[in-house]
Amino acid sequence: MITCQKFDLRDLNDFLATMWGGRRIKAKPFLYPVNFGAIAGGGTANETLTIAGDSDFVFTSSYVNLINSGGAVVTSVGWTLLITDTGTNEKYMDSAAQVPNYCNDIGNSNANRAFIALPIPRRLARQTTLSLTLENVSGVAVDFATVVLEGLRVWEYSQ
Amino acid sequence: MSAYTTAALIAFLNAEYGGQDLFVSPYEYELYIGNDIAAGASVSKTLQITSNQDFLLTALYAIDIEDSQSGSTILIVDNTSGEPFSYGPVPLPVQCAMPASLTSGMPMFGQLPYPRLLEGRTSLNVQFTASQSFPLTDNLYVVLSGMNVRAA
Repeated sequence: MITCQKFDLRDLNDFLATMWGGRRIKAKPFLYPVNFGAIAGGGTANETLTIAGDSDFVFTSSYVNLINSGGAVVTSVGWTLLITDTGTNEKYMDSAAQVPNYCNDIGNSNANRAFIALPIPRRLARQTTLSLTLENVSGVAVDFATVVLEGLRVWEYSQ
Repeated sequence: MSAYTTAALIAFLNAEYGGQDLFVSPYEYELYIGNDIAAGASVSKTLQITSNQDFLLTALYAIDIEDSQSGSTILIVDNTSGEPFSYGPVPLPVQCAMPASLTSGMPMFGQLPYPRLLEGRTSLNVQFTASQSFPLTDNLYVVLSGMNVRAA
């Protein structure tokens, strides 16, 4: 799931033009946060995210932020994430992905790492509901676990 | 990590402004959020875009932020349209790059995946909530980086 940088603006515009068949649209950058709260070592948490009802979402990349009981950010090594579209039952990966391979980890202190983006953007229709399952295999408990989906909010003009 | 080439930005502006002649200049707005903010406390500030030109926002930075504020959150709302930049508060390091923290390896996120055009006179509300565990002790600034756009 690794590409080295955010999508080029022209590539995104080409993607939007193709997906919307050249219809008039308005796109703006947007973030969908998913807050899991505390997760014990070895624990699993599940949350759902529903895309807003007035606009589609073009998902381009994601982030994870794990905060321990001391308030410090910790690495996501040993964590897994599974995303499922509950409407279509489509899984976004064959099995739960290793979080450091899928999300940009705020707790990863390697300054030389590449930015992680999806290999191609994914269009989510308005009101799509996603189920996100975060599993903490690392054994290190956290007080706050947040996954953020980054992308574009896209409105289609009616005329 | 730049995703915006000059040619792509010009094409974006041509599409937004219907090809009219434009004068574009790099610019940034710096918004002082505060200091001595208690753990878990929230502060709201307002930023007004200049009235005589639009602003194309391409990246956000948090200046003078301590690494311990990785658990802090930010929510930016366009008061003019009522549109939030996110579906709820998001971790500050996700929304804003934190250049001051680079020595400890904090990532340089913050570049928007797509530019956001803010019209002249747009008012933004920026709500910062400090980490639940640590107070904010430094002076925190949020910087909006991009370009001014006006008719040539």
